[in-house]
Amino acid sequence: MRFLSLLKYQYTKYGVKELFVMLLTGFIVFTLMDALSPLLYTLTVAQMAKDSLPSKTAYFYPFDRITNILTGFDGDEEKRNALIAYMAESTANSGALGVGKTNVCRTGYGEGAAETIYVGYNQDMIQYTTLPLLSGQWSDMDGAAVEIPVVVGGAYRDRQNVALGDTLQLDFALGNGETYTCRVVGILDRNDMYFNLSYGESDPTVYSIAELHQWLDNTHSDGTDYIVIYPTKPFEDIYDIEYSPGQLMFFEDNAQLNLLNAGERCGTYATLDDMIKTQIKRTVYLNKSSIVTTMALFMFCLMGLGGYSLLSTVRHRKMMAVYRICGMRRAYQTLLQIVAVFIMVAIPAGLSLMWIPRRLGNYAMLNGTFYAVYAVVLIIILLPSTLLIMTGYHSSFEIRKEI
Amino acid sequence: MLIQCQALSKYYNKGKENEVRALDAVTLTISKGELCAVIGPSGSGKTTLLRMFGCLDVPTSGTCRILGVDTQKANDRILSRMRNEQIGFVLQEFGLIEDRNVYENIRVPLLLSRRRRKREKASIEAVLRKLNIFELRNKMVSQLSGGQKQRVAIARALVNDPSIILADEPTGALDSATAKNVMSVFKELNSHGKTIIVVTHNPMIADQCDRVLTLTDGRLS
Repeated sequence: MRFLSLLKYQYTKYGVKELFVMLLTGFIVFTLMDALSPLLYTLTVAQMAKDSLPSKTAYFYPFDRITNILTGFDGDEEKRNALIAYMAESTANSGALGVGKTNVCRTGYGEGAAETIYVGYNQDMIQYTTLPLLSGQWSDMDGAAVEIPVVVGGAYRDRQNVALGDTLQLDFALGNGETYTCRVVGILDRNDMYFNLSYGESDPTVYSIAELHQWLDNTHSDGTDYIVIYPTKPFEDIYDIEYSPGQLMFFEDNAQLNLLNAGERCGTYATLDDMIKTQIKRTVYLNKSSIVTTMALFMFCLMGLGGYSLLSTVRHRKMMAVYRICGMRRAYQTLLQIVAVFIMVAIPAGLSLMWIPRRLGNYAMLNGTFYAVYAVVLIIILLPSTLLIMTGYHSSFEIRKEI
Repeated sequence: MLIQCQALSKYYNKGKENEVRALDAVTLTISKGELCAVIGPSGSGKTTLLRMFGCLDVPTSGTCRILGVDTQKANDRILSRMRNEQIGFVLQEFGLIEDRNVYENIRVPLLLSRRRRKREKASIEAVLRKLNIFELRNKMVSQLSGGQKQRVAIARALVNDPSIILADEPTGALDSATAKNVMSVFKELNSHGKTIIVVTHNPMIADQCDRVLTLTDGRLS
């Protein structure tokens, strides 16, 4: 109670100055985090991708199709032929999978997991999200020899009124006039999906993962966990491209590395590290005006806060000198000052922290990195005040002036 | 003895070229109920001596015992408690918190005190009445005259009922009439048994005290 009374003394009577400083602090934290968000997002996603993706995975830029690569391929003929041979073999093995239509990359997911990860690469930006299942599971190989296990999206379920375990006849838009018997093994917990197998021309989508691949191509049924990822819907809209299972291609192990090597010449393939570097560069480039403006604003605000801290510390020094001659201990003095400043920073920081996740929550990026950056920002804001407090530590100067 | 100093010395920048001997082997005792003036030219060590009495500084050598406590051996907690409960300060520039009212300024020592807060209001009002500033209790300090401010400072020094009042040039910022008034307050307090030590340049003020200590170059003469 006494501490609170003394704490109250640290602030001006009506708290107008403090309110202004708190608004300023909140504004600084918010704008800074807002400017840092793209970069933070990139770093977060990069780290998550690194942690979750196979290290020897080759990634295709969605808009560079194999045909284009081969057209522009000016490497030696031997490599080109090897590449074509691989494509041909791949086509032969994969049935519907075709040369020249590669638009996929791959990642891993847990067998039968209720939630898996989607990692896509689109317009030089890695996208990362989790895909929770409303019911069922991603993988169910029972009866897979006669029925393709599929996971359906919420939109499809609602429109077609399908339930878990239902059997469907789907043609997968393969264009061969056949339909395939599929069994719904899982239903996604969301309607919008980034990867899908188009169901004809209609909007509703059906999702199938490893099982479809295994069903189509038993030579690859080695039990490896993977999912196929299509380019994002916005990308399709921008480039006016429609995807179908016929555009799928899978890359495995050595063949994948071969492609990677060939890709060096083509300049089309990238490793994850390359992608991350490119993405960071691109993020900084795209946000440079925002970052520069915010940093300038941040510096101005910081100077303002520093000035305020300086003035308030001078005021507090006198107050602390009074407290000291009235019997306050040094440790108590320091604690009081730091708590007073901390409250002024903590409240706006807390409010901005509540606001920021709404903007960033969709990207699943509120992890340790985010909070670490957030803490650093707060320390930067707290630092001038704290340093000034420490320089006026036990009000010796003021006491000497007074006495 | 309330205050007992034995060969008390205080050096600043000891061992360096710019070493200053603020106090040099000062030996003195001050008894309960004395009204004592400390005079001397600027730089003679008056303020340093007052800081020693107020437990704001410790001797470089020698001993300084305040109410039986050796300030050199006591920790910050003990010294702070002594300042809160046993010592009241009155400063030349008043040392008041300008953007608070009179009542809140006088309340500060009570906020730091271990004593029960039940009697807080009664204590403050009693001291306000004693110094004839009760009607000013809700006024902001910045609105007061110099004499009124000094009375508030004295009220703050008295609110915890200390044994010793230390006044550093208490009339330095006041006109002569107000200074006389302040001294009469000190005399009255002294008549009620308070020990008062006044540091001053003003010989007129010193003349009103029972005892005068003269410091020259850190030594008592």
